Amino acid sequence: MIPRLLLSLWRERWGKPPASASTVPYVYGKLNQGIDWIPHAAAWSVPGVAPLAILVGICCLFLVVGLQLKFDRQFEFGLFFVAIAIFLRRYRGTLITLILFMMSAVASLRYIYWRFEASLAPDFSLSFALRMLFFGIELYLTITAALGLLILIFPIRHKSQKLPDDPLSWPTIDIFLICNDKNIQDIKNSLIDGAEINWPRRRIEYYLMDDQQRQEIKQLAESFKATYIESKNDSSNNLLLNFSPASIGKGEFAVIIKVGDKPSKELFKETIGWFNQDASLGMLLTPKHFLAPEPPIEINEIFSLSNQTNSCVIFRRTVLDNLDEVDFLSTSLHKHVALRLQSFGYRCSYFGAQSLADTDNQGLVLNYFRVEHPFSAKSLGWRRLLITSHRVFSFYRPASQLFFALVPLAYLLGRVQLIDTTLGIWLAYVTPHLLHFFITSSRFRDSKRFTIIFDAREFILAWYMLIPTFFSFLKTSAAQLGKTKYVSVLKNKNKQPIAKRRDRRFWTNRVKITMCIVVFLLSLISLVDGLIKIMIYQIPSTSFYIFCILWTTYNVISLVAMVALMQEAKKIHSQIQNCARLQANLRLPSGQTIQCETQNFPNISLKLSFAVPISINPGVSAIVYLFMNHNELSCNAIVMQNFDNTVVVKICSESQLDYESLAAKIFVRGADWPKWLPGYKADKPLPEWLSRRLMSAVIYLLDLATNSGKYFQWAKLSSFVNLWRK
Amino acid sequence: MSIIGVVSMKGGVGKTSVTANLALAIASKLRPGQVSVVDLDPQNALHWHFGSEHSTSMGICGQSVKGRDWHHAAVSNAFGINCLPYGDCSEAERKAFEDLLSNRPNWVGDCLKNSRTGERTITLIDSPPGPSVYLRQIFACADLILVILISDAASYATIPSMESWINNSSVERPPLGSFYVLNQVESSDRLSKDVVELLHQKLGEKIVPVHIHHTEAVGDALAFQQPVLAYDPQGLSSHDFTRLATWTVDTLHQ
Repeated sequence: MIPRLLLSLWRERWGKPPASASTVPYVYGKLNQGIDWIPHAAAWSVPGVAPLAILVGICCLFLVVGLQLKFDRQFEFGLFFVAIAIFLRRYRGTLITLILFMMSAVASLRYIYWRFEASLAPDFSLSFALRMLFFGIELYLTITAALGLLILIFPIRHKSQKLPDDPLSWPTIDIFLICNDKNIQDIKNSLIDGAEINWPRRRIEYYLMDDQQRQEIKQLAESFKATYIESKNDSSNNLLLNFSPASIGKGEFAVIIKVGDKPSKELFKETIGWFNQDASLGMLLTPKHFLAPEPPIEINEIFSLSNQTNSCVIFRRTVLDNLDEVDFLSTSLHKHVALRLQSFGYRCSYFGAQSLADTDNQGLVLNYFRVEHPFSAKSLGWRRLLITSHRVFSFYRPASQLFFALVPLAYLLGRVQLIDTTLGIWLAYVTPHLLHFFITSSRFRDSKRFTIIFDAREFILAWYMLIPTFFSFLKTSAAQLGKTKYVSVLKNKNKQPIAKRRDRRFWTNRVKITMCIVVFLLSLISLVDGLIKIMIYQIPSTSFYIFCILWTTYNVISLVAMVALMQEAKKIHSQIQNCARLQANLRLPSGQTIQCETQNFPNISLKLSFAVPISINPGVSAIVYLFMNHNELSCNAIVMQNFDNTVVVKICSESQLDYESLAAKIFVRGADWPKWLPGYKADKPLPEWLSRRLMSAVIYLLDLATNSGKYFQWAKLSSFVNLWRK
Repeated sequence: MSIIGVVSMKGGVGKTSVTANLALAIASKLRPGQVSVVDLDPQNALHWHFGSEHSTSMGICGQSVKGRDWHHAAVSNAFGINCLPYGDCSEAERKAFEDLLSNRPNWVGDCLKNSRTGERTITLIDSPPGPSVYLRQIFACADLILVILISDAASYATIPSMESWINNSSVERPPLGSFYVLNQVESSDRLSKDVVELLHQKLGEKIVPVHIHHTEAVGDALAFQQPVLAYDPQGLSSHDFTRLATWTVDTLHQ
């Protein structure tokens, strides 16, 4: 939702603390117990029961959808079912989700049917054509929304599977710790954390994979009874996994973890059971892992709620033994390991963990879940089709949403009513349709249970931020005309090459902004026109006219927010492009320093480009100085490659924290970001003299309110002053 | 005309090098002839940075004692900087010059006004270490004071005396204020980094965000009687002085 996005950007921009995530856990109660038996009921095994149930269900659906009610009855009917949905939403479980989805579908179908049946008023006129167009757009948006909900339901979460009670019968696990570029203390900490894993110690074997042949790591491995493996030192690329786990160890499972990623205590207890349950499951990994392709957006949304921040992959050993062909050493194949496994008939899944309130121990427990990889089995083909259809349908959604903003304008300016009915009955049908959609979709999309309340609150807050954001947008736009001296710096920095200006994204944004501004101006004109007419003519407050004015007011605010948001997004995008090229200096061991420019900041393997060809031997230690405005950072680095006037250096582990912190300051736009953004003064919403005057006026008014006696003393109005104080 | 005073309570921190190199860095941003340097240090070393070996017998000291205009003391060089050296003068001349400066609190400022340098020029004045009549003159006429520090404990120890001199001095304070410039910063040295951090904490916004790193190029450049920007234009020091020049020009334009 726009206000929420805008609010989070605003919080970041002006250094406000992030909104507290007040997660309310869903409950598991008698209702769940009552419903859970339904899918497992013995009656389903009786022949004919399932088709009969489906037939009855379809008949009921037709009956409910086709039921035409008058305003009062429809209002009560809608209210009743919305109340039921709010009650049901307290409970967790997929069945409850499906019930909510069905309720939402019924409310939407009722609305669509009613719109078709009672509000189109067919005739041969332009108004009817427009009414049909509006109806078509509503239908299109409803289908798109329904598809979106379906997609979110279908990557069904699998609950954890229990392991046998006897820990001695649990499988053996080889843990491969990737130690590349990590110091000994970090590795030691990872080993200590590993000891806390709830798994029999004798059934876990540790392997420390080090590509730098460090003696101290070897000694550490011996002291922890782990095995030290010298992995291939391939300095030409940034490999995270440059060994083959298939050839090392004998454990039934192989787990690959990077040093620094702390696995939870229950990780194996919660996840290994899935392998026991599903013999075809070959690999289990966290989303966004380098061994598997990026999950679709819809699946990422599920994991955005999880607390899993570390990366981890679990292989079944037999899979690795049978798949010697999988070339772990090749960088290009890393992302395709998952796909190669599938080609041999094994499945892959993503897993995550969500913290839930533990009612017994008054603490938090991690609830592990597994989501099927959408590419992992042929049976999921139709789901992929669903996802693709949703994307195709979503393509024109912004345009259709913009048409919605034109609906009240058509009435205010041209007296064309696109819904041929009374306002009351329309609201009685459309409100449940929208409310059910919000209730159902927020169950998937948000960690908060009552998102409508949060949305409403943030929408109100958005009003407060719209003013500075909109002023900022206006001022930046005005400054781009070259009227303000400091903005010229920003303008030059943000200057994109012509090739990039031809970029589709550039034009798409420009078209979007232009359309929004056109509709905004039209809305503003009709709003002013409408308000003048209300003042002159006596228009009843329940009329469609008033409703259209309110709708237009909302549109004006939303459009301003939308334009401000697009501008902000554009600025972030260009900032990322600009910041990849930082001024830098490379200092060699001889003391010689050479000016250069980074090409791919904030990559750890930093590419530096020099004005002239340069010759440096790979492996040489150097210091890289990075400059951003008046700030600088020096990092220790090792020269990896050198060709022509380009040198690739790898930032050493001891400097990586500072390096990443610099990148965070530049890209994350946290509290410190204005100090790093080139020409940041341009973003001040109001001129300093004006903000100072406004602040003085506020202080003066507060002073007047609290110390009014000081101001009214000369008039000797002590009684008035006392009254004022009261 | 803007005047920048380069001062320090301690010797050997690189005031003269900073003055010469900063002057050339600023000059590269302006038109030729718009930057002047004045050497108020009796050591008379500033002109070496510009390769001017000759014509130094009559610097500003001698010209002032003889009551002549300062532009007669100007020494030409290949870098387009208008250099006014202190000059090789006798002990008596130096004493007479210092007496003159004691009696006329804004003598340097008046001389610079009369030295036909033009309106849109920037003049940098190098000074001897510690409190002196020269320092008083600089404070009387400068728009901006740059206090040079090096990132070591001894420099850190001089800050209170510098601050107390600025606060207790009867002379008028520069309109743009005084800022501390860190010179010879060694990023790979732990102590140097800690001192820089400490100085940032102590001085806050009074410290110039641009630091001059310790490189061999600065010393080498002097051996070749060149500013480092001419000797090693691609080096880190040149980059630092260019950034310092940007900061200085921005500050002067505030």
